[in-house]
Amino acid sequence: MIPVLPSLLRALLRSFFEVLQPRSEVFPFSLEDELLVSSERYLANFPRFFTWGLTLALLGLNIATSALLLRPVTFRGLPLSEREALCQRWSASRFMPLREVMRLLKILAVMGFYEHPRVMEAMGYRPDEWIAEVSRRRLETYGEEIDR
Amino acid sequence: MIHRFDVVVVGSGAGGGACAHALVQAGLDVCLLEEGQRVPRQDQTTRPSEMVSKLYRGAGATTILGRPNIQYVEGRTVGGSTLINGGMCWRTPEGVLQRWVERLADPSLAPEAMTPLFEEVERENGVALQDPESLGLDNLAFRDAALALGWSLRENRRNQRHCAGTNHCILGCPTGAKQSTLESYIPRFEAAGGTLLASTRALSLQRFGGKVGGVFVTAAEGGRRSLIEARAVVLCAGSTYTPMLLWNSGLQNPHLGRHLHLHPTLKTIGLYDRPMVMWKGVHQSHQVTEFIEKEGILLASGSVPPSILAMGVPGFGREHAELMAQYDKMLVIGAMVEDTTTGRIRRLFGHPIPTYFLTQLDLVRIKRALDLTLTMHRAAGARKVLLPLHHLPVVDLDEGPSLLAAHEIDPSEIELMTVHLMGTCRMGRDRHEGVVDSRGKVFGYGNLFVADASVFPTHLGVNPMETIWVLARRTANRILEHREEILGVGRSVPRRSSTSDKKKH
Ligand SMILES: Cc1cc2nc3c(=O)[nH]c(=O)nc-3n(C[C@H](O)[C@H](O)[C@H](O)COP(=O)(O)OP(=O)(O)OC[C@H]3O[C@@H](n4cnc5c(N)ncnc54)[C@H](O)[C@@H]3O)c2cc1C
Repeated sequence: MIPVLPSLLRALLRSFFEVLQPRSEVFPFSLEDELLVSSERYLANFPRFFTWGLTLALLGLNIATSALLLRPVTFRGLPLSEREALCQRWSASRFMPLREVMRLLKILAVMGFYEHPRVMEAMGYRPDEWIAEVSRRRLETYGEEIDR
Repeated sequence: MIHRFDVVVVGSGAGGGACAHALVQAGLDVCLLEEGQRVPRQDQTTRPSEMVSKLYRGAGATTILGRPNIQYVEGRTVGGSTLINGGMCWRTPEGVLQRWVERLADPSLAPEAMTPLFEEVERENGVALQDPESLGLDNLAFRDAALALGWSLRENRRNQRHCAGTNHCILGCPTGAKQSTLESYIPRFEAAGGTLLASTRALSLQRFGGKVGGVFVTAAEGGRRSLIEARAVVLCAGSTYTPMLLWNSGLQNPHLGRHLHLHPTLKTIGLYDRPMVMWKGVHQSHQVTEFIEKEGILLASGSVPPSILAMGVPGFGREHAELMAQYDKMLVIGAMVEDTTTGRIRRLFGHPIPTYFLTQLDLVRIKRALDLTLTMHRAAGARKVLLPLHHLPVVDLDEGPSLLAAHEIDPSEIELMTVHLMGTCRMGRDRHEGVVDSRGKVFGYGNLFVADASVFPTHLGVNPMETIWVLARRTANRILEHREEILGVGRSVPRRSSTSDKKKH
């Protein structure tokens, strides 16, 4: 069974996913709930302390936002455009651990997003159909040799 | 009565599969231990998140620490990295073998002496050129660009039986055409009576003086430790875990974990006005060999599913989505660079931590490799190219070369990755030079061997799998040639029947 992520981590992740993988003209749908589910599955591969570390890191960024912007706000409370500017800044940071956290968030966001059937359909990406077609062709052409 | 195997082989990847198969074919009673689970062909899906969890160590989130950090991946499944690799097969370059002969003073490594072994493993693994219909538009665009530039090009030989071009190599192979050890050596190993224990982790070796008596194991998810007794042990756990197993067993050698080579690799993504549809067609059909000899750079195209490619596409949000929407008009060109330095494996709380720091010369080569990929993209007709540089993520091809030339690359801004970790238990003439001798025997131990990528004394400059098969075969032959001495006289135990995926010992 996949352990459910703590609600604090879910809320923090959601505030990042809204920036990293927003509704756009090319993909006009929001999939934050689905991304949380796929993140839950992916993070289940790692030891528990990893999830705690991620929670602490995101909590740190959430709070550090007020110091960076010199006003009493959290990352979660910012409008999308300001969150986006901060994510840009953190992703290009010279501080390696910060870049690594942003990289992990991007992995979580894009992995779930581009595997989602609606997104795959919007992209015209249908690997299962392609595999079925070429597998059939392979057997028709080379079946006897392959069986040997 | 406790069963004692003739040989326990740890790890079922390129080295483990080839070695275990050769030993069992010669009539030995062999147990093959694999930490990962067995994921048969019909369970290999097109969902990367599901497959990386099942097939990759650390669900694919593994990093070599340094400047920059380098992402690496390796298999953790029955078949090891051969199940998730691209299947490109290269005989060890002659120049490399000559260097090994001199370095190790072993003429049996000379190209002429090795040829029959290469031929044998190629037969066993169906190494062949692709059927023409399996090439996709991206493969052809890459080939034609190289031809237009007049660069020498190699048509890839791959371990496949009529590969259909499903292009899911990095997630297994849904047709079973790719001859990973899961499809080639392991079924034959089992049919010949070998015992495969999947989902079983080797922890350390039982040692007495200069001998080992077996392998301490546990179920992969943890639990009670038990001993699998053996007359000889061959470690094939790959370049990160073989040194760990030797350390955990108390082995001391100054070269253990050192001399890590990794062929740092970068990729650039060209945006085109015409379809490339990289998911239709073989993973890689050609490699540009023009720059290997003189500059140590090998170029290849390579395609991956959108959710994996998206991780390397710069930026995020709407801008990222707009780029990703052009997935079908993208061509990925990768450049693999020969190392000019080495890294090492360190231990932290019982886990291997690879470290590697690029040199100035590496940076020069990387910049040159980037430039070469831009030249290819231009020849293929790209509009723009996405670069693996934080401070220069996109170039318009009209201004690209000058922009790149003017850009001072800071090591911490490059996105590099590798899939070739080699050399952490290298071969040497004696223990002052390496961990094992030129046929894989660990110095100081009569019945302990290593047969995986960790034994390479230098890097290769080309894909390593075929070299690993052949070195593993040499190690198996060495055990067979000296079986009386290595296994002892009392080995008359009948071979047991195959038991797959056993978790209890
Ligand atoms: C994505 C990718 C693409 C690649 N493409 C190519 C290519 O096209 N051509 C090429 O020549 N090479 C390629 N390679 C490299 C090649 O696959 C590897 O170099 C080769 O498989 C290494 O062989 P090995 O025996 O050293 O280790 P592996 O094949 O990695 O096998 C090691 C096995 O040992 C197991 N193991 C580790 N520790 C333990 C333990 N304690 N107990 C039990 N089992 C353990 C692991 O789970 C693993 O299954 C690629 C690799 C990757 C990852």
